[in-house]
Amino acid sequence: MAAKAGEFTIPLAKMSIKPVPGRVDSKGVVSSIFLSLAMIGLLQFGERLDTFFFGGLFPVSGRIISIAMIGLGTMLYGLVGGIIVADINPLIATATGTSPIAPFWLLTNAAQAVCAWLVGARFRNVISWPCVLAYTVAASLVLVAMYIPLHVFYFKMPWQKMLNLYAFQTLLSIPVPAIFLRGLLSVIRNAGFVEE
Amino acid sequence: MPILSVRDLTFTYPGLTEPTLAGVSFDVERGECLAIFGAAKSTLCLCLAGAIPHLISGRMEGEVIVDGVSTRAVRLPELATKVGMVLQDPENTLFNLTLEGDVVFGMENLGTPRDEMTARLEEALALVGLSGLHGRMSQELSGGQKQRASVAAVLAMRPSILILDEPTRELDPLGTEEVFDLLASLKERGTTIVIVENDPDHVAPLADRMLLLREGRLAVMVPPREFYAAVRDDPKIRFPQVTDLYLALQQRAGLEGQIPITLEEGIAILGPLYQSARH
Amino acid sequence: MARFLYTFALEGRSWATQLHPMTMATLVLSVAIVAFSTLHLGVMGATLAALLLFMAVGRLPARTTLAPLVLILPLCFFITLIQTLARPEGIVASWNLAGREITISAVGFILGLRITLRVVLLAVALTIFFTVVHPAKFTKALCDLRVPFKYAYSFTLALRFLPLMLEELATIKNAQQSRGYDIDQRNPFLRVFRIFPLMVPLVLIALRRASTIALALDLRAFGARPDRTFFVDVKRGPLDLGLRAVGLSAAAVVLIAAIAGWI
Repeated sequence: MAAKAGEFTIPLAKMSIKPVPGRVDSKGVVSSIFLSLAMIGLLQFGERLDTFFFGGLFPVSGRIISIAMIGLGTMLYGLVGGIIVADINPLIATATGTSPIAPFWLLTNAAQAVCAWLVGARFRNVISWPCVLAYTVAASLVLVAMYIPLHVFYFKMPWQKMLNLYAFQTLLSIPVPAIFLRGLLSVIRNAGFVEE
Repeated sequence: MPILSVRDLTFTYPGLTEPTLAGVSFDVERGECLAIFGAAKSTLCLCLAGAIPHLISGRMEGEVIVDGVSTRAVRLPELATKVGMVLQDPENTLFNLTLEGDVVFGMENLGTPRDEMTARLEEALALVGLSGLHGRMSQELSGGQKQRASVAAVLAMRPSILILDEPTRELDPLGTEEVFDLLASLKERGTTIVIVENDPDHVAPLADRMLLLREGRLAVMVPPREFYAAVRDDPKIRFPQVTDLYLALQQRAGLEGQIPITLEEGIAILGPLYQSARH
Repeated sequence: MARFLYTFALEGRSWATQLHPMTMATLVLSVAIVAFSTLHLGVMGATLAALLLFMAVGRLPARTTLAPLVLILPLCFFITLIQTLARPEGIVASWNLAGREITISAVGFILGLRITLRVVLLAVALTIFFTVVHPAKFTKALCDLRVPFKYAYSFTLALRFLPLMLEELATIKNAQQSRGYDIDQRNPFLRVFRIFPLMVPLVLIALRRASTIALALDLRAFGARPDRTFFVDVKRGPLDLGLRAVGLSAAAVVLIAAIAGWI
């Protein structure tokens, strides 16, 4: 959709590019990779918290950071960029043995990118609270829906007894990533990375 | 025929009203070393390498002709075989895990056959003095080695012109010496070099001509001695220490003669003066 | 990162590094099929034994290859604990704690151990894959599968620059701490929420650096032609075909047996 002055549509890094595939030139691809590396670095800070939550079965900080960063990548560079941000992390985590359930993140992270793309494409201005909140709500719910089969079929967890934990995770993973994402988008716009 | 011709080059970045480069015209002969000073020098280098207009948006007028080919008329990959550019921070130009991977990277992108890649890899590493370090991890190399590796990676693509944008900015003195020794040997082999560098003690002996940009326009383009004489009152230009000393003495003591640009020349010119002053 | 340093040192010292990346991927897939199909102790044990045999025959260093498994211990502990406490069958002990009934299930405990073994199987298989497969060969193999080079190369690029980004993050953290910002909270919850002053500069640095690297890549003809050549050679030999056949056959047998209810 055509943007008016002061409006920012997805992908932000180049207005005239369609959200699919988005910005897939060298700059788009490399920037997406670097956002993913930034995400990997930031995830270290919440590792202790996530280990506390049943060894990583119900990550809190990981979810907050991944929703924020994957949303950022998708809104900046489109769907392909978002998927790169989403899926480099599980590959690196698997390669470095950081997490045994990292391979599953390939799908769950990619789903967050798809959510960001679907939500972002419907807003005339993605650098806005309604857009980021809509995305974090969608991503959180999709993640719960995807993690339940993982817990049930792979880990044989009694999911009915885990509802409180799912609720706690979801409660945190809606507002906190939204705050982070909104802040990041504003800073990036002011820093001149959003190309008109 | 010059290997590099710039004709009325004007470039304006998006969102700006004033051009960053305005009507710049000059030629560079094959085997020459040109040093560039002043504002917009990196922009000029990007124009010479073809990054402008292919990668960086803005309004470009005029023409840059590299080895007989206009940078506008061909795609950037084709330009890569004619002009290679080494950026400031070698950390940003070594993309692969090993030195070998970095040197062959450009050749792979151009579809070079494997046998030829092997030969050129050895040649490039020998040129820069990194033979035998094929399997070394790029991040384990020293600063000077990394920058030499960047040069090797560009040389492997066999460009006619080598452009270096402040190649020693991130290096320590030892690394700087290594890079300039390499450039001197490349120049001896006949490589055309265009360099942006703020280290006058190293650039002055290397350059055949020096170009100064002022407000985006070509102000001066002459051999080093004449250059330093012409810009002696420009506070933004750094001089080789011996040249600075000589020019100060020239002004205050009325010295006449050739302006030294190297320490050896300085000793040859000023040494006798010092000896006679002592006696 | 140490794993990849070691992979390069393994080249020429382990025949396993000569295997085609897709062979290793097939073996991992076979192990995944087994892991997902059944929790039969004998089958999983045999699969684990096969992996360890592969490591021994391939002369892969056990200590370096298996060291990352230490990281899955907390997960394994919690899986077993949850199953032990949550399973209603096979209860061996129970007591009342603040009005809630806590039960210990032997069936749950055994199930927890089986699931742990399943997690270990997949972790070992993936660890072996990344120890044996050179990133450049991985890229080549993906390109052979028609994945565009600029995407296939992403993994190598990420591995190359990850240490740099981690260094940048450490620098940012120190800079913020020197300005009085305390990120090292004991409270893990607060630690997460205080991440924003690290996030912003790190993202900006990432984007700036990416711009320069993208420029440098393009100046070296990155993505110039779809038929780019590769310096590394990736060949498929009879051993590759044999291993793929064995792996997939074994996985198929286990899957069929699991579906039929034999295991």
